Amino acid sequence: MSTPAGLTQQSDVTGNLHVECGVVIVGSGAGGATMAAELAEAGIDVVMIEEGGYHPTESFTAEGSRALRNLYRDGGGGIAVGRPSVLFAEGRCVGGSTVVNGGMSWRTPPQVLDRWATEGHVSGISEKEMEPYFAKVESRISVGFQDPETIGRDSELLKAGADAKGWNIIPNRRNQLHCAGTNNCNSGCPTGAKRSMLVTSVPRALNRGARLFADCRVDRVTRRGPAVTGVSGHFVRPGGQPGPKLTVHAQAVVVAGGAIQTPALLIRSGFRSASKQLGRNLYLHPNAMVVAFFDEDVTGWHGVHQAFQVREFIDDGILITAVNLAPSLLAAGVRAHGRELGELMADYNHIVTAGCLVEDTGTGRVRNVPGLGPQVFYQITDEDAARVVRGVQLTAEAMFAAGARRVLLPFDDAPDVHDPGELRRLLARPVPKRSMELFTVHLMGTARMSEDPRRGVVGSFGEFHGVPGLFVTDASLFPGPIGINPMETIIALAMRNAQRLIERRGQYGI
Amino acid sequence: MRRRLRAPVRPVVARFTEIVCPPEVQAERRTERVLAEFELLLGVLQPAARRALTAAFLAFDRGARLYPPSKGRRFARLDDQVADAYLRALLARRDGMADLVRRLRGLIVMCYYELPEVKEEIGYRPDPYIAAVSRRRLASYGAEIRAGEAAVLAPDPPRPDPPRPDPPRPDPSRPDPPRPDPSRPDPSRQDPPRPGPTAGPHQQDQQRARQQDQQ
Repeated sequence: MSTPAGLTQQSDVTGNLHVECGVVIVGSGAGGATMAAELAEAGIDVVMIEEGGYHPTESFTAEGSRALRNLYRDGGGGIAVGRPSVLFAEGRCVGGSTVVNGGMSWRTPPQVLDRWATEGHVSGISEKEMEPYFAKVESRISVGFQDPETIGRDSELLKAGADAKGWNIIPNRRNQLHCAGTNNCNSGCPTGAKRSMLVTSVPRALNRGARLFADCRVDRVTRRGPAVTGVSGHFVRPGGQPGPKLTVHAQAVVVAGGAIQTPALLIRSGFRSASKQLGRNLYLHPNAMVVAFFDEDVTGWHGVHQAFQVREFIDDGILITAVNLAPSLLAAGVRAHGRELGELMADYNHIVTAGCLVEDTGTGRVRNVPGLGPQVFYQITDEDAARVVRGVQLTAEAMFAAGARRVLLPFDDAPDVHDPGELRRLLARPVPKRSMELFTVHLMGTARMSEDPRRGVVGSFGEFHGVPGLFVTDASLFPGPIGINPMETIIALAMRNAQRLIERRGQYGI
Repeated sequence: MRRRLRAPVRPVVARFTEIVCPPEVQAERRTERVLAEFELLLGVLQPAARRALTAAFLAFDRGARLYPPSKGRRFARLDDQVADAYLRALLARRDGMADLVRRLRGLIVMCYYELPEVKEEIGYRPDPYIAAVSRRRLASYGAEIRAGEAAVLAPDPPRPDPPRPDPPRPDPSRPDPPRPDPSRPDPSRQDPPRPGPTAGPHQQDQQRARQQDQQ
């Protein structure tokens, strides 16, 4: 496999490196790669640094464990500590989480933008002001609806269930170029149809002269007095051994490591926010999954990931979809072992896994713990827990309406349920929070934007309050949860913030 | 490959694998191969996480001595029935230990269901399917796909208009204004607003923000 010009991997490096550039960007996901492409397009000398490796489309297979090792941080096994703990996954590879997400691409709901503007005191974020950026994002990453032949039976059953209930269910908008429906989104799209940053903004940035250092962990953002001077880090050898050092001197630093790594890097670099919100205000859209068994053959891995979304309960903060899981991930998530697990998994091709996403009102926190690195703490609130229970009930009801004969719920000690009446009776009793099996891939809010330095870590366009030349551009910026898939919002904000930086480049000597 | 699981933890993980995976794990040296998968996974974890996992397995093993039916034996020495009962007893607890054991079980069964013959046995054969639909995609849309891929490197259309001057913002030092109307339409335009039976999830935002202001 050839590597693109401008890419340096750990295997290319034998000694310490020192690099000069105009802007150094930490992270190559939705925020970082977009910012890099925009700045490079404007003629700015850009360096991107990515902790994960470069894995091109040709390397993606249906081998889930390999993907977990190569494309995810810590094998996809992040844990937000609480009762219950919440499992989370972050991408760690060139292209970031866009390489392993489901490819859902939705504009920020207008009411969320309004809330950010009015309650969060964010400027330049009205629906009208964001419209050109959303349009540009959708063109850049080919946002559209699936070709009908790629829609799988699991999605059809969810739709049948929602239709039977009379619910609003809509086709998903996805960043894809005639997606083949391989159902391999979470292990990397093997056709390149999913227009992740790996196949869009990263090559675009490199084509415009940006440089990319992969397999390189940034240890600190460096500064002299009030101004940032660049970053320092080290290459990571196979097996995690530290390799040569990389020092980058730049006029501006953009941190785009995601809502966990971004605050962790800024905190360990010694930055403090007068708002005291750096690392706080973590929202994570808790997800819960039901496993539904059908008599008919479903073969849920035939067809696209999440073809539809149930939007009936969006105003209540609940989103429902069908998400086929590879056998290994399904087995890891169900409460069975031994012979019982074998019997359950023998029915794999008769299963629909459907999940609900909950817009949370509680918040968590990221802290650097000595010896352990960034750790996430999150305690679900009573209100959000009640919303999870309702979301699970609705999801299970949709499955029964579609003809499921048995449904497993994501609550410890909950028996299998066989009809809606049994479901209602069971969930009429309180469900202890600690018994919930929750996970997420949406992490937001830990360096939130606001014009008011007492409220936000960064300003409306991502610049850290009181630290000229230091920017954040990822989901950390969000003042609150958005209730839908966040990728398009992250990219649009990165485009908007890049444009502001380009307009004011002289101020930073770029 | 570097062997990350050594004595004393290796026999514990092997025995744990035999208990949590379906009985077929004992055929065709599958246990060893599950351990090999698990070692690969350990290889990408932070050293602290690796140490924690190792310690967790050892604690699980030694903790069996306190389980009366084990008669003072470690988990690795228990017969199938008692080992399974011990595992279930821990999973039934309502504390962090149950959570930990659940995570360990999840990791091991995940490795088991990554074995190719196990996927085959449950009818999961993604490679031929992926190859077939990939061919169909190219055959149906090849020209559009090539054009779309080429567009990645094409020059940008004119930039969006720069953000207009901001309207007057609310004074941050003043109390928050009322929250916006939640019935505003969704941007997708395929998604007409549908009023839900209860109010939106952010009723408490203002109150929380005020509390933060007061702190």
